[in-house]
Amino acid sequence: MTSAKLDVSTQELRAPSLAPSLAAAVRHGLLLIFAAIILLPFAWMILAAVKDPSDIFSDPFSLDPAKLRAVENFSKALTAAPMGLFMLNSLIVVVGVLSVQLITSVAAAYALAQLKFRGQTLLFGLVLFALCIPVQVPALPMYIALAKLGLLNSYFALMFPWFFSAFAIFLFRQHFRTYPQEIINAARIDGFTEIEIVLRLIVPSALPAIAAFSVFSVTAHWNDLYWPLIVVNVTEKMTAPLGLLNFQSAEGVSYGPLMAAATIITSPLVCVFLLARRYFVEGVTMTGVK
Amino acid sequence: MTGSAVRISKIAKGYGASRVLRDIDLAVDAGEFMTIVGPSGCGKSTLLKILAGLDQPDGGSIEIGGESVNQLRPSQRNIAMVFQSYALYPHMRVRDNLAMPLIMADLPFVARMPVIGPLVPGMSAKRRQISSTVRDVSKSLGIEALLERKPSELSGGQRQRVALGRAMVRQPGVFLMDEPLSNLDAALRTQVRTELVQLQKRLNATFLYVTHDQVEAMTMSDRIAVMMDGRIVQVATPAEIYAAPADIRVARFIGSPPINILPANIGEAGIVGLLGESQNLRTALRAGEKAQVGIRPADVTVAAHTRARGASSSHEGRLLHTENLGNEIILHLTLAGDRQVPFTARLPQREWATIQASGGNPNLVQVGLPAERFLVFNAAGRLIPSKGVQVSKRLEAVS
Repeated sequence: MTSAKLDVSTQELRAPSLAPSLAAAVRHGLLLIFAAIILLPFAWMILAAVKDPSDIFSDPFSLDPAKLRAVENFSKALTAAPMGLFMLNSLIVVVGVLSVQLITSVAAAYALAQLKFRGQTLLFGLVLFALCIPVQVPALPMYIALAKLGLLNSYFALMFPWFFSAFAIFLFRQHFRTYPQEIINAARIDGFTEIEIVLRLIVPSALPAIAAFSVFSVTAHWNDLYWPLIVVNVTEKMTAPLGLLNFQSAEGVSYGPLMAAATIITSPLVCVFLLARRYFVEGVTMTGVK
Repeated sequence: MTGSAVRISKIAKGYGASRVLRDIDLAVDAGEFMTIVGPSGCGKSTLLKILAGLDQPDGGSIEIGGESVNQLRPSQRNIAMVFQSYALYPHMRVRDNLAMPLIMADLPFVARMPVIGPLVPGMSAKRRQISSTVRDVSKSLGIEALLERKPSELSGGQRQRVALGRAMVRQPGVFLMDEPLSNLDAALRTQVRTELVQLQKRLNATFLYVTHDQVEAMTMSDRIAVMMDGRIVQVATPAEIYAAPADIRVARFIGSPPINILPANIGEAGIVGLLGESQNLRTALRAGEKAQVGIRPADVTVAAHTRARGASSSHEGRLLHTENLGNEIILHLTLAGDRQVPFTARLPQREWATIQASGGNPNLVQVGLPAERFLVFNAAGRLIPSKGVQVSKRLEAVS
């Protein structure tokens, strides 16, 4: 009797532990499939960059060590177009945009979150409203304005539309609002100026949000093709994605060097991602974007 | 260092339609420990914020140390504040938390900037002065071992000390305290209560202390200001507040367990009638007026059911339950004559043991109500002066 009872109880113990592990296996299987779908184009890009261009379409996922053309493809990519200049342009734009964005949005978000003034609700409403406007809508008037001012083909034209980010203001404002009012009051009694309250108290506490937004901003503007395509048509001011486009039309069907160039352009972001993976994840979860 | 006097006159504040503060007048002497006590939502914290300059009043004026501070920023008012949440700067070490008020006051803007600040010449003497002050204050509070820690690495009591230290470093004329003990556990609260009072006497500083806890108000203060619904109802010493509360709300608020309130009626010549009997007490109220009588639980006498003693009138009390405080017992009762009104009595444990030992019905006691300790309130809730008289149990005997 007792042994039978024991058997039953061990079975009961085992049964529920099997179901979760199966569910976990299914879950991980699905995730692996999705990951493969996402990674496939990248794998294709890297393979195409290192093998003989004639094999790219006939046998896309093979790699024949005898027909490795990595050196040729990459050297062609680097000599056919000023890749270094394109990446430098992108770097200047990305850093410039981010610095001005942080200054404007931190200041605006603090005012909206912690100060009291007339028209505050209206201003915040406008920020929310601006969030709903797609970037394509103001593109034409902005292009005309820049053209009339003779500012096309400049770094300023590349950066200007992104100096004020409604999204950053909104994100930071939500963050700053959670900062304890009592600490700000204590700081006022201790003699902090408002700027010092922002720089010494609020910003350090919001560093994760600021890092997350920075990661977003850098990614978006490094990859942006739309706006550079509108305001730049000289090679000296082209950003990396635009340069790539230029490259493609010049090289026609030569996919090997094109993919090599694409690999070069993607690699800085991949490196940044690997270094700041935590902030990427935080950024996505924190902002609820994508 | 000596504290500054504070004079508040006609301070009013409203948010939208609700009046939070109505014509507040309060004078605090230099070196006084003044507690502002009241139930939550009575406006006491708002008043403190207005004093600190963190909130603007709709009208009225504030003087600190004889000077009007209405137009001054918080940092210029010669005050320091201790907050309920302590409000320590979370990413700074204790040392920097303590130094911050001095850095802000003594160093010019450029010199206190994070990166280029240390490069500004001629500041080393001031910096040395600041760190020696921080050392002295932390030593006097017994927190010198914690200087390198962050606030998140401190216990509640330690944080409280750091908050106190941050208020002390600038040697302000007035300390404003917004419920500084309410986040501490009960044992620590009692200990810090004593320490705060000793600190205040040692610094000879003016303390304006806001709390909703009447025990803190009674035990710590030189004087108490009781606030209700945006008004200051009474300002007096703890003894006066307890013995002669100006208002029935004050009577209810002060004292633990709370005062017993019984409905009363006024008979001929202002004699108070309670529980259907005339009491040996005469008031200025007219016959037929509504009144209420307050009786402190500690003033009630309790005897075994068989006899009453030392009381002008004696009533049968039915025991609901007892609370044992060790040295004292709190009895929860209902009284014959008015079974609806809950009634509490408080007596020494030894007396209670004697009563229990005397036998008889364990659920019944004889409750004596000493008329000379009654607090009589009129229909508006104001305290009415009363005088003990000899009244026979028949009303017509009153002279």
